[in-house]
Amino acid sequence: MTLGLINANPVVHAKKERIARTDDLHCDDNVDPLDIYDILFAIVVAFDLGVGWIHFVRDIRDPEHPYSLEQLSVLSEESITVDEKLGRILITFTPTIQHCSMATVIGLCLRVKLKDCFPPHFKVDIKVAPGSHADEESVNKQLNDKERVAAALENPNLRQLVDECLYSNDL
Amino acid sequence: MADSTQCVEHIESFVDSSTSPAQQAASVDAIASFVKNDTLTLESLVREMEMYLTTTDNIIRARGILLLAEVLTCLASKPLDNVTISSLVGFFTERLLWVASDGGHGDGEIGGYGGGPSGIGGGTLGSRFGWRRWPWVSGLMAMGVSIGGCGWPWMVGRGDGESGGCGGGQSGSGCGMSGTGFSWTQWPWVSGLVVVGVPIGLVELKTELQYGHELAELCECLGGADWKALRGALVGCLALVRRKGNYGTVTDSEARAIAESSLQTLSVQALGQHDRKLCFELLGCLLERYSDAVMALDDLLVYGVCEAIDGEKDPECLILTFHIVEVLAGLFPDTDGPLTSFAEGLFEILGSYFPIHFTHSKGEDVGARREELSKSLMLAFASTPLFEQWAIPLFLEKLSSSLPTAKVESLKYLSYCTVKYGAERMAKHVGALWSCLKDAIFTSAFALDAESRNSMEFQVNEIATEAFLLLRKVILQDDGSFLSLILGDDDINTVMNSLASFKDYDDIPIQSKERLHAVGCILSVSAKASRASCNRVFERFFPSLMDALGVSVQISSGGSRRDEDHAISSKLNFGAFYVSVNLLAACRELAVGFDEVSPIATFANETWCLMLHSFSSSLTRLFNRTLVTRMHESTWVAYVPSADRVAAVQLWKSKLRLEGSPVVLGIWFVESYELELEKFLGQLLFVLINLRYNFFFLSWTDFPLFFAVKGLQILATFPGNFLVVPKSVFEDVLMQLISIITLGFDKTFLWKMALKALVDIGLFLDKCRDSEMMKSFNIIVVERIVSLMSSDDFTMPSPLKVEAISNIGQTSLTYMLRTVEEFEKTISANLSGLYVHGNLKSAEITVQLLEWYSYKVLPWYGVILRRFFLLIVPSCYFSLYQSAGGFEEVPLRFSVSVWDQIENSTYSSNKFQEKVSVLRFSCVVFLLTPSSIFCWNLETSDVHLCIIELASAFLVYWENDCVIKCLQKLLSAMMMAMKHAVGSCLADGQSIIVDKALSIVLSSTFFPMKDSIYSTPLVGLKELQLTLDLDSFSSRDEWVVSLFASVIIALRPQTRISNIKVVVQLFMTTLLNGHVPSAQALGSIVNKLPSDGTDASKDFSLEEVTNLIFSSGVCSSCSNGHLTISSHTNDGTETSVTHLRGDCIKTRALQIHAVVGLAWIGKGLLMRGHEKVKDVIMTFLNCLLPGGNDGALPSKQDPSKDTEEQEVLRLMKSAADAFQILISDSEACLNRRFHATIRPLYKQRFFNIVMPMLLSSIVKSDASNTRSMLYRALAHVMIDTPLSAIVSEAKKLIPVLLDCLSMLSEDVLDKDILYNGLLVLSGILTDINGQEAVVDNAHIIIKRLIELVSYPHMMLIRETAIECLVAMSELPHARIYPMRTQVLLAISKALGDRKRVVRQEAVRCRQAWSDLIYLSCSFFLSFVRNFSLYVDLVFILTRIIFFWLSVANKQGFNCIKKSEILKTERRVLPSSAR
Repeated sequence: MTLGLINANPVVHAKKERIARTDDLHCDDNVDPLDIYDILFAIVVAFDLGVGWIHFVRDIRDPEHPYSLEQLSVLSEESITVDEKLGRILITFTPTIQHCSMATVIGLCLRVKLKDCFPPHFKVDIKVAPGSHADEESVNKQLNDKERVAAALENPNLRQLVDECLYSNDL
Repeated sequence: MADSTQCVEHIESFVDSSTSPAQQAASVDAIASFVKNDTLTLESLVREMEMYLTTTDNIIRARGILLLAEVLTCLASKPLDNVTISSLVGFFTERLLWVASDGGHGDGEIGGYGGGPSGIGGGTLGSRFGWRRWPWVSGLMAMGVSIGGCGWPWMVGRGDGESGGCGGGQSGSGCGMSGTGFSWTQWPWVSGLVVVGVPIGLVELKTELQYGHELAELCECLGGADWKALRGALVGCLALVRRKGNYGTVTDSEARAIAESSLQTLSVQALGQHDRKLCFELLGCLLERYSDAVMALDDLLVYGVCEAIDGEKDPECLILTFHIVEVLAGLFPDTDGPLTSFAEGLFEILGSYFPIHFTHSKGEDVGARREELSKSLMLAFASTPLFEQWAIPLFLEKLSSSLPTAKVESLKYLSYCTVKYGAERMAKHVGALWSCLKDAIFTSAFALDAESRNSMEFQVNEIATEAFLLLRKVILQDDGSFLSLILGDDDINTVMNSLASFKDYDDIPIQSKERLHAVGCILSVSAKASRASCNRVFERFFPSLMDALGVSVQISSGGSRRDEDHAISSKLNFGAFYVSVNLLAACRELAVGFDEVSPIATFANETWCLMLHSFSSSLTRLFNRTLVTRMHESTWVAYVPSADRVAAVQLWKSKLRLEGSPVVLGIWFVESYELELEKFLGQLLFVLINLRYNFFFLSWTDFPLFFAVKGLQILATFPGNFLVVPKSVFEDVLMQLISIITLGFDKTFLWKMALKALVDIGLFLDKCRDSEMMKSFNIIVVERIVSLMSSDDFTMPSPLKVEAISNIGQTSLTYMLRTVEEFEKTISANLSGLYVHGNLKSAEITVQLLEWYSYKVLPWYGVILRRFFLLIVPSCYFSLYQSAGGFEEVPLRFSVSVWDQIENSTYSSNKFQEKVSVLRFSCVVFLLTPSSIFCWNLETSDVHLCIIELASAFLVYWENDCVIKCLQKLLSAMMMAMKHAVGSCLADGQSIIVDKALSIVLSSTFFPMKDSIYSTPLVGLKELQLTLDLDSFSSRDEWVVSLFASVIIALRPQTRISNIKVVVQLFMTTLLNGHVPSAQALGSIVNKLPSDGTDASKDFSLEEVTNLIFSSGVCSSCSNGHLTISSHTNDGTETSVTHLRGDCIKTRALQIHAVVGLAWIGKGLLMRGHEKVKDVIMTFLNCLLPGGNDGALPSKQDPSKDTEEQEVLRLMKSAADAFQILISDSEACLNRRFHATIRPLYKQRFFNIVMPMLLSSIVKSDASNTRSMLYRALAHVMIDTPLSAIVSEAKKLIPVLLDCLSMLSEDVLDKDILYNGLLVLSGILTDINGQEAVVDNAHIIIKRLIELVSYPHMMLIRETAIECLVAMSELPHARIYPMRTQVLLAISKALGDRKRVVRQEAVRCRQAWSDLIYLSCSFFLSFVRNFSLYVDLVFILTRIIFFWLSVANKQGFNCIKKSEILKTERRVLPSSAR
């Protein structure tokens, strides 16, 4: 590839510690931003028959770099808001640089992951943080247009890229 | 005489280098055993081996010598004569010398090469060729280099941080590890040690292999040196030197010869690791055993040792090295000995190792640990005072290093060496030592950098610990000059003078807090060190401290109390307060220490004693006052609810981080940390010094309070001999503490502290046994506490009361006896209060007291009893034992007194009974009222009245419910206490209780069939039923029977029950009334009766008892009950229908009770492995199976038989549940605590018996009811059987288990059984042995799990089901792939679950299952994408086919010609190239 990377040298942040929650067994738990955050950066625990437990982290990978979105500070707990009454989730993410053309791919990854791992009755809005992207409006429009998302996912190349981000083991 | 050929065989086998090490070791053993058994003499062996020992072949000769040496090692305990030994010594020493001379030869030769114009790094070369094969090569080369002119190799690269590199020859490429500390490489002795030169001709254009040949030739031409024999010579010498006195030893002159030859001629550092180790062992052994002989070598010895150990880097060798130095220094203790001149050099060698820095990763298996190394180095340093002039400055220098480990090490070494070097030598270092130590304490101990706080904590705390230890040692050793330095120190005095400015703890800036704390610790350690130091510290600071606190000298306790109050009422000076408590604690520790050494101590005239004495009462008052005032003003954060506490901790942590504050002294008081706290309180000052825990004080205002309680405790626990604290003060303290206990119970934190202080005082008194103080304690504390039990004051919460009583009671046996005595009184008073006056209030505390009694007191007695029998109890207890009539008496007395009470009471006609019956009546009214309202009361518009009636009825009902619940709670607590009490009695005591109880039971009013029991041997079911009506049990009767059952349950197998027949009859009667404890008692009886009837003392054998039970109808009633009923219906008329229905319900109820009873009896039999249990199982199966119940199941059309059907179902259900009783563990009876006979593996046996029966019944039965009940029984059995048994049968059981699960998921009430069943399934899934069965049944398992994922009634079931699904995703893909869509669908529903845990689990599960798709997809995609891989695969496949065909060809299956295959191969190949 002769074009080179869009952001060749991103700033990598340390992973933050997750706040431990005390669970009350007797009442219903509402969906909260932390839930979504956990899902997006879920620590997958697979157990292996006979051999024992194997833990591995399965965060969403950046399309360009072998870092997770969390490490690149693209997403944070504060950038997720949930309104359970209306059944809406708003996720604002911050691309690493202003003219990042990968912003749509990142948004698409988030959408696919949430579609897979979340109660279907929530409406998910995914937006770029205000002022963080040169082409903010069009990216937002593209990400929240059902038809265009569906079309994007039908494109095998794009689908493959998204799948790689979601299921890669490179981290 | 052993067969010489045999011997030669063994020798050959050892010498042959191709045999395995194990074989070689075996041949050594064989030869050694020949010699040991005298079948072969040593001489003949040597003669036999002559050829091997003298041959010109180097390798064989070396092996021969080694064999001889190894054999000698094995003969350590075989007597040998002196001639043999001396000839052997001569032989081996000669080898050592040969080695040396050959080595010298090598030196010269190779030196030429080494000095050549260009060289190459020997380290690299060495590792390339594998030095182990030619260990001596490196030696040679090292020598070569040295001749070449670059210094002795062993001087190079010592681990002192300098670069270990060294040029190899004039223009050689230097190679050496830069030795920072000790980085051991695979070839430790190569790195940084040897730089070798080889001729340029060798370097150029030659392969590694050629190097090898060249080198080998080179060595050969060096004159056939005997290097290889070195190992054998060393082993041989070592074996000889190590010989014990009785078996013939080396003489002194021979030992000297060995030492001389090895020291003079061996260049140890040039050898391989193992050889060096042998050398050091030899040296060490010589120094230890033949010290006189080797001492004569004088300078040569010391010089040789220096040379040998210099530059050593292998940890195992180093330990030996350090030990050698230690022994050597012990040999020459004089200052004018040969060691003096070498001391500096020796110290230089050793000093470079300090501090030990060990970079080995933990995983590697090394022979030496860091601690061992460090310790042996410390011993070496301390071995001679000659090292002092260099060692102490070195330690002090390292003490100021920034590395925490270096600090700790230096402090440890200083502590040890200070004592060893002696006060005289240390005197000149005192000033430097104090300033370094002060810096260490002031800075590193308390200043923590916020970022690295967590990782540093431990080391920092260790520094403080070590620093204070050192301080103490120095003070103890020094004659006082050190203490003068401390007392006159500017920093300390500044802090002490500024105490006045520290009024309140909150106002003190953090830095001053650190200072204050450090000074407090320093002073306390100084005071603790000795009497003299204590005096000086007190003289210097105590008066000013007292002034600061506003306390005046006051000897009589009357005096000027008012002035003092005035002084104290001003704001407390915290700084002074803190330091004084620290000092108090220090002198108390000192006093206690002396007290242990000399019981009658005469230290009362010491200055500090006098001072303390004069201030003690005022101090007490000060503490009291602080407590009182503080108690009101402090805020108790400990009261905030648990969620807020977590928030509070977080807040504190963040605050700490912000302020970069020091280790915060304080306490974090949450229930979960209580244990830590206990530890903390117990040894507060120790902790203050150590700072091992990171406690958080919730509120700073608690701090003075804490110290006030602590101060009181210290004052109260001064040993009596010192008479420091007058009695009045002691009593004041106790009064203050007890008043907190009785009044301050709303302040949890303070209350606990006070209780802890009292317990400590109690324990202290129990230890020192001061009669005066004990008397006061007894009167003030114990009596007060005990009176809490019986008081009618309900303001203090009863759990706290019980806690106080229990803690104080456990401090001493005397107090425990007293509390138990009071306990018995209280229980009887409360019981009578409850029953005579209907006083429910005392029930709560009674229940708690009973629980305390059964779970705390009795186990405590058990421990004391055990100690008593082991004779490790203080002698004073023996008199107590006698006075109490044995400790066993306590539970016995309790049981007997309870029975006495029951005997004397006339509860049956008391008020309470009336009350209960009234309540029962109103309850019935209440139940009837609703229907009446709706039927006719509405019509008469009398609704108002009705509602009032209803409301009052409801109130009464509610109250009644409370009463009954309360009574039941009390009864169960009483039963538990009775069981535990009886259980802890011995057999004799138990029979007394049984006799007493039985006599009371027999005389009871409810027991009318005494006569019938005596007259007829067996009572049928009908009769039993007639003699006792179901509801005729009065409250008292229930108590009597329940308590009697408890007694029987807890009996030991040896205890004899008189009149056992009556007992059995009685229990069988009550059992049919649904009284479960009776059933348990029967189970215990059959479990514990001796199996043989020959024992004359038993009037009834097991056989008779079981026969009695099984023939009496309990058993038959289960299965035959319906028959009697059906006969009733046959001849019943229209009028008798209602009667019949009632009768039938009653009979069914009776049957259910019988089933439950039989289950307990069966459990007793099962646990002892009795055959009869099969009958029981068959009975239950009969209840379950259609054969037994078809007749009873009425046709659907008849509405009157609906209830009958319900009843039959109930019966079947109880029969199914009986299996649970049979197999599950019970807390209430038949366990180890109640002395049950338990046969090992009884559960597995039961499983093996029952499982086939149930399985075949399930196959046979077609009625859905029956099937579901059978499944239920099966589920019970599977749940309680150990998993390993289940897994081994997994193939058969999984389908059945899945059916069970689906059946159980129908009823909400079965959710617990369902959950347990699911756990069994998950156990099989995760077990490696169950995997095959799981794979076979994967489809149905997944189907069932998918159903359970949406189980609405229990979160745990949903969660576990999803977890199981995750586990299933690990199965072979081909097996589970078809199920993925179903699973994903089910999981997508679970994603919206109400509970977060389930949602999270669902996400994981989804991930696992969608990975399945992704993996298969990606495999396909990558397959397509990587075409070259594809081609490779085809190529490989072709090769495999080719191989297969070639095999087939050989076997005669000539299907395809070879050429064709080759063609295919050729066709494929170009595409791969593409």
